[in-house]
Amino acid sequence: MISFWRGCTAMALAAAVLSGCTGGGGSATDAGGVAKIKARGYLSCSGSQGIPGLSRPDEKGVWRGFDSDVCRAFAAAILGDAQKVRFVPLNAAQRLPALQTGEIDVLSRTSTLTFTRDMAVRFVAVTLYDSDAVLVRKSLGVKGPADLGGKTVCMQGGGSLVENALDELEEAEKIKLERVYFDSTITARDTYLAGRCDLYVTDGLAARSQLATVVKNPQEHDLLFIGKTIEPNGVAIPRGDDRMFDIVRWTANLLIWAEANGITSANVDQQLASGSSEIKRVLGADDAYGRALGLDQKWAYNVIKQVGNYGEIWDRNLGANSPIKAERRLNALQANGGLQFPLPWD
Amino acid sequence: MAPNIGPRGAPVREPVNVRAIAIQAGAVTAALCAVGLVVLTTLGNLTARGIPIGFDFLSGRAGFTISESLISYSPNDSNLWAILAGVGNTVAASLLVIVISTVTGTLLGIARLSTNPLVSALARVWVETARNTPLLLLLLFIYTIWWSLPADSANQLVPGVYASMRGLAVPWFDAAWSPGTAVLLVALVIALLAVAATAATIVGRRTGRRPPYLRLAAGGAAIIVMLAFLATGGTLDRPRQVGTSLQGGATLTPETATLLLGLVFYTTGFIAEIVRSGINAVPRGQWEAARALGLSSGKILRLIILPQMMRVIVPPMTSQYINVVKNSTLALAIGYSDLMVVMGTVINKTSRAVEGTAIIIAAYLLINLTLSAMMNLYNRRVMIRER
Amino acid sequence: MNAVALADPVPDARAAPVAKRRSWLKLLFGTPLNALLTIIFGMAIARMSVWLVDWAIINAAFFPAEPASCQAAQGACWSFVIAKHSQILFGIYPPEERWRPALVCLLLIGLLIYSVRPASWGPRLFGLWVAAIVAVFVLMLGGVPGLTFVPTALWGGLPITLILTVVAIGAAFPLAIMLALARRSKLPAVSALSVLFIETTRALPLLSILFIASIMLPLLLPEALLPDKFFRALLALLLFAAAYMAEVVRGGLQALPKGQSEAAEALGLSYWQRQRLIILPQAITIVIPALTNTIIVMIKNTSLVLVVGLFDLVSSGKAALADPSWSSPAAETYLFIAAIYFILCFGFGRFADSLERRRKVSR
Repeated sequence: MISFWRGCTAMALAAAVLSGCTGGGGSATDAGGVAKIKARGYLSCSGSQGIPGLSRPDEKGVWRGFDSDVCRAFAAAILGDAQKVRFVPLNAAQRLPALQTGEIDVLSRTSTLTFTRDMAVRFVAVTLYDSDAVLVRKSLGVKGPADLGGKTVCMQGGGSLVENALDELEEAEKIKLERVYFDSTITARDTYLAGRCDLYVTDGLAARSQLATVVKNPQEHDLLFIGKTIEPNGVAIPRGDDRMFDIVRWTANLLIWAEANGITSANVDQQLASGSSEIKRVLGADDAYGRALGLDQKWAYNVIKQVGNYGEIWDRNLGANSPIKAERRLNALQANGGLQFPLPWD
Repeated sequence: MAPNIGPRGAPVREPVNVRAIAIQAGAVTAALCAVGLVVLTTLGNLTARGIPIGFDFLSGRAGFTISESLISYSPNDSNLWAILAGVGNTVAASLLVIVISTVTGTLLGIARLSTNPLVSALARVWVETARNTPLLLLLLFIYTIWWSLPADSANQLVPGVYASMRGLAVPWFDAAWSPGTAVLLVALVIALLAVAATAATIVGRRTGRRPPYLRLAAGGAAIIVMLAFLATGGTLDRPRQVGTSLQGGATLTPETATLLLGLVFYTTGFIAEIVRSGINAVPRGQWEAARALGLSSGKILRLIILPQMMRVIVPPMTSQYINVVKNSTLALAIGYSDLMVVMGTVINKTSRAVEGTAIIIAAYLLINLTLSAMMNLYNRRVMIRER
Repeated sequence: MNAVALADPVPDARAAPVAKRRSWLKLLFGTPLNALLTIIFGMAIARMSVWLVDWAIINAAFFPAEPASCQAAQGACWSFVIAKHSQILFGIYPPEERWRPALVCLLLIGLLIYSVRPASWGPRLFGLWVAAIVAVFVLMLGGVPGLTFVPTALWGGLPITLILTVVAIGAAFPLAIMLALARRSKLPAVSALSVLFIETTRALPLLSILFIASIMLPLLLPEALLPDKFFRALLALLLFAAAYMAEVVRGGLQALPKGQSEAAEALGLSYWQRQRLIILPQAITIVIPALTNTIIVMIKNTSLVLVVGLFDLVSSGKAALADPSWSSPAAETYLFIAAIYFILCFGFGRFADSLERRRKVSR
């Protein structure tokens, strides 16, 4: 008798899994990313392995940096609260699979937009224009790229884009570099600092920020920009999600637009009340933009109020109000000689 | 088991049979459904996110560098070739560690049983350190030790051997052989060894005592190779210091050296325990009988104990060897390009995570199943000797 | 890293049955070989000890726990470990809430020590553990009145190691027993499925399993069934441990004479009654030493979650080292973390050994 019931239980279990088969397989396709994020109550965003100024958890576990704040802007737009972000630390090799599989909703982690990558995930906007740079010990007496021949270079493995810059350099200067790869750019940096390598190569801004914050005796190192390539570091989402694309593109645009129009987190209330008609409309005087994006009427207001505009994010993390004090250069507004400009709303 | 008892628990009664079928059907259905759920969800997600699937990327250009590769590889080779280079590196590192650790582990296992308390205590410290410390920490720790070595000027340990943060450089033979000479030499050595082995077997069968022809042939082969090396103008290449780096000789990078050192240290500790319990498994009477025959401790160990021990230790050694292959994936933490690292790069470059994961699984299954098949073959040979 | 099913490690002395009666002097210098070994190793030990004491104690910096004391020191920089102990032990858990993971560690370690006494074994201990695990998750996660919510992404350090170890091994053990029984089942389909799972899991590196669990799983499972990253790593460790422990348990099952099962069957006990009352208690007792080895390996395996972005001890140690005001004493930090693992693993090993010895005496 007991055995009969046991058989029944087994069959019932099997039936339950079977129903899971038919139901679960189908449901994965229809729920869009935005609906999932809203249902979940937080945005899942990429973190790096700890690059100061871009994305790194502070001692309290709060992620700080330009890339992290860009994530917060999306959370403010979608969920109305910039704090509703969970950061997932990823190394270079994990970040694209993590986006493809849905482990993260948005990738904002010094990732260069390339053709190959854009075929795998969807790059939406360029948030930072960067170039490649090397840190080199002053004691080596390196004056320019030509002196780098035969040197050992510590770098992140996993097919990062700086590799192209090194290839370019080797070809142009007819030199050969000895490369040592690590799973994270942080390990590569520490190993360089310990003296294993003559050079440490990474993105220009990352090199600057690390020189300004983590490198122990910064005066002993030189920062050398290499390669002519501009690295457009972008924000990416999984492919095939138009709604998410809209929100990410226009939130990224909002940050630059707000800076160009002088809207800051400090004066956004005042701008909403007494700005130009376009400013009022975007900030939520009517719900045209919000409705079109499937967002709250005040989505743009929330972003600027809670995170600030592009310039504020820059100053806080990389610019004047940070230890890094990097200049805007290519990332300045077009009006100031940079490459950033807002797309028109209407 | 005597045949008249019959197979135990044979389904004689009808209800048992029904139940057995029901349970099995349930288990298979559950497993199939779990697999079905995963496959359907994956396919659904792949379509929804527009991720293509297929293995065409394997023929595409790899486009990344592998810092040290056993197989000749350049970024212009295909992804498949890059993966094979990764497999080569994993297999090479694992084999090297397996061979070295087997020797050191056996010695350590014997040292553990030494009558000298100093020796056995030191051996114990080694074993306990290896058993109770995570390999990852061990590797990170060893890697930091390189950092305390001089960075710029290489440290000459003994003449010709340099150790610095840039690696360990030793003098190495620089042979000036043409490919033809090399092939000829290899063929000669193999032929010599084969002839010696056959002769030894024939003589051994006839007289009941196997003459040491193989050893003589090996010595002869070594002399022939040496003479050929000198005759063709081969030299001993000593490492030289050029600027901050070392050139010439053979250089082991700190990354490879750390991986090998760490894995060998760790595996040695485990193998020592296997060997110790293997020696202990040989009945005490064997020792006493051998002593009564007047054999020395070393001879007892070599002629009586170790051969018998082999039967006990081959199965645990097999799983230890497989562990070495698996543990070599920790190369990730210290920058040695093993299969996992290369696959990570390939996945990042091509964004073929699903296929990449499948390749990782298949490759490790293949390597480990081959390894355990070889060990099982060896196990059977050891067992046959039992009378 | 991985389990090795050692044959029962009998205390040595077999190789040297007369050893105990000899005097120390004779042991150390009795034969020329022994004398030579003693001199070589004695000198090596002496030199190493002097250097080690110099480095780790005499020339080391302890207090004040400030960067300056480190720069001045010739030897080890323990002041870094002293200053950063909270960050290393608790990772990025919010500092004002760190009493919670500290309490969790005390709770788990306390209960582990309490569980060591065979006198306390029984259903009550099981209930205590269930309550403790619930308390651990409530304390760590929060979200109840009085405790702010701390997502698993902020968990770090020693609590992660302890929770992963205790929960993964605790949950893996019953699963391992089921797998071992299934593998030895007379039903071919059941045993084939079990073999497939066990052999595949054992042939794969844990790193690849963790990679699949942390990065690939969102693609493989519907969102509704998907646990968060911490629990996925936990699941990976659990399945991995189950496959290894299943093989150890199977060893014990095979070592039992068939008569045991047959006699129990003759008494009219059902399959599950036979396993529960007769077979498993004996089989598990036989394999306690091998099980100990497997569990120690699993404790060490928790260090691998570092590569999937969990802030375990090693990871938070690395994060602490990134502080630019210190001179990055990496070796000291790794030694500190290694010492924690060593205490956990060695302590557990000793406990299991004493258990084994008591069992042998009692027979």
